[in-house]
Amino acid sequence: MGRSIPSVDTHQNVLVKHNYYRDSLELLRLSDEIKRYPGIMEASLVMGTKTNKDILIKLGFPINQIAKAESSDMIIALRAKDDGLLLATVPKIEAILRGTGGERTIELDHSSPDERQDLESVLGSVKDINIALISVPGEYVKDLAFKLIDEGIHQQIFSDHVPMDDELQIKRYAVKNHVLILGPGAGTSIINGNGIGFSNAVTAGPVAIVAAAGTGLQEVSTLLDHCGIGVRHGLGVGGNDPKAKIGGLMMSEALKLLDECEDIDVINIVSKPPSASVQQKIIDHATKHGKKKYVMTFIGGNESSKNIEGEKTRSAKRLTNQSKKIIISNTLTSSVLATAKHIANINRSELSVDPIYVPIEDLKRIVMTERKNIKNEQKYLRALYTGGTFAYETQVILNGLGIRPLYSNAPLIKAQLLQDPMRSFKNSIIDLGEEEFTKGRAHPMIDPTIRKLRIVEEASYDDVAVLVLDFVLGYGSNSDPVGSVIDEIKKAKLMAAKAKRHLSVIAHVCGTRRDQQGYDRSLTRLKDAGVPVLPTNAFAAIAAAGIIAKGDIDFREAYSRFIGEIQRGKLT
Amino acid sequence: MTNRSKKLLDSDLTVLNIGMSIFYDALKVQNVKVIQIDWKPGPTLDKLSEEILSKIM
Repeated sequence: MGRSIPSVDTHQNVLVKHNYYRDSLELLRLSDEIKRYPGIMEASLVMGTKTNKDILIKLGFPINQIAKAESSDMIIALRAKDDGLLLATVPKIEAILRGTGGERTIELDHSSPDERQDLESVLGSVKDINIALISVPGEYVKDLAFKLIDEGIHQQIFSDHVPMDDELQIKRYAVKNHVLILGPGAGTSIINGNGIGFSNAVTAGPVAIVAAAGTGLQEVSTLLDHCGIGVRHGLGVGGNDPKAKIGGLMMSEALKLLDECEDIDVINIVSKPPSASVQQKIIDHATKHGKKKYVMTFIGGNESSKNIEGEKTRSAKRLTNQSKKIIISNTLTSSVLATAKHIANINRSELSVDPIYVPIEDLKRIVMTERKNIKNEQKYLRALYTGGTFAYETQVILNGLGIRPLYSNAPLIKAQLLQDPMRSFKNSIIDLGEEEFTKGRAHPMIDPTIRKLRIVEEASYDDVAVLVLDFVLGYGSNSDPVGSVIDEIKKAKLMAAKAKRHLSVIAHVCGTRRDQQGYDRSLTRLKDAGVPVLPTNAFAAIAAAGIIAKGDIDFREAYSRFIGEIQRGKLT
Repeated sequence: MTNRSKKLLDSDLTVLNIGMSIFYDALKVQNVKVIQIDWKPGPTLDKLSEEILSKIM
């Protein structure tokens, strides 16, 4: 047990437990449980990373106590209605952390203790393991991955911060040993209709997805589900895989594998524009050896002049004409429409994409309604994304539509780097899943704390017109993504209204009707709070651009470039 | 592609979950066979010990 340093504040208490590690999710669960104790107003149990310390300071805890903590220390920050409650709560937390029970009301982990097993004994006794899902800190991944490759076990590595040199070594060794490595940084996969990691309850069907963009896989699979098209496999290979250094090693392996699946008709490749060599490899595979129909979704590929490596891109559109079996897309929405087109052609039937399509006139109506009460001084949009691919796609669209100046903590163009990710500037697209927000914290799809604070903060600026928010439902995500921030959305709108401003909040919910969080319920609560909900991120981005551009957007051109032209939602 | 990879897509899954238990729960909900590994990071040195070690090694 570590040493504790109590603060002297009368209604607040900050304890620092030195060299005391707990998983960020365990701490999140414990924090949530303690917040439900009578009289406890705030409870934050976190590791002492810079991000966590900044958040605690924003929550009003004393900086002098927090500053002492190192990233290997645990901070327990409590606020209660009176001292007695504070004093009574601390021993309860200590008891839970020690695992001695006492008045313990929760388990630190949902899996029962007898189900938590030692790796060596499991490898020695269980023979039918076919995949490992790894979400340990990045520095521990390499040793673990090599050990599992030696055992012939495929892996999905969710962990971030795995050095690229390690990734290359792991993947080369895996190829040699006929093992599939999904990731590092792969949060999402679907294998035979089962979601692994952050994934959605989609129907299995004739589509397979190979993705180097996790939320991209979720968006494409859920939108296809809304159109009645099933996805049997979705293999996330990690964002570094299409870079020249890794050489698309696992993208190639995944394509070869899926080409041999008899129940797959269409393979959709979702990625930021790959390096030139990897792009060529993918195209060569599809054109020379591929047995399926393909959609190549290089997000922003036709729009940004540079690819994932900063190289100049060739126009991917030219490739479309090489072969009818390949369609090139530049957004997730156009990717889904292209996949649906392939399916309609294969089935020789008409296919409706109405559930995910917004006719231009409808989108214009939403834009006009939202902007009619926006004042002249309200010029900027702020997008607070939990899904990294959405942050990227929105930048592609806003850049393409000439929205300037534009900044991001994960910029598409280096010159658009936001100097301080904790503070937006002019038009800002924030990816809350980036390292600066997640070191020692659960991912924002699980932990809404940072976004809650940020929604209210953005609403306090006079020059902000629009907030753009994504809500990702499904396995692994927060049990109620919309419910966890709906009070802050209402508060933000109320703050603006009191200052005689209209704050427009535009949302997109990524999920299916079978996701446990309730897709329709999520939509209803947002709409009831005055939030227009668009069926895809691309439509949300175009709508947000339309609101701040105040009439300067050519919607027809925007649709042509980022959505694709279809006839009243029908594809044949 | 090898039989080993093909088998992954054709067989019932047995997943080793090493790390965040939220993913264990998500697989259980789908009736996927999953084993939670009891993983903890190795001991880390405090800064002073690291400095001393780096000087003597």
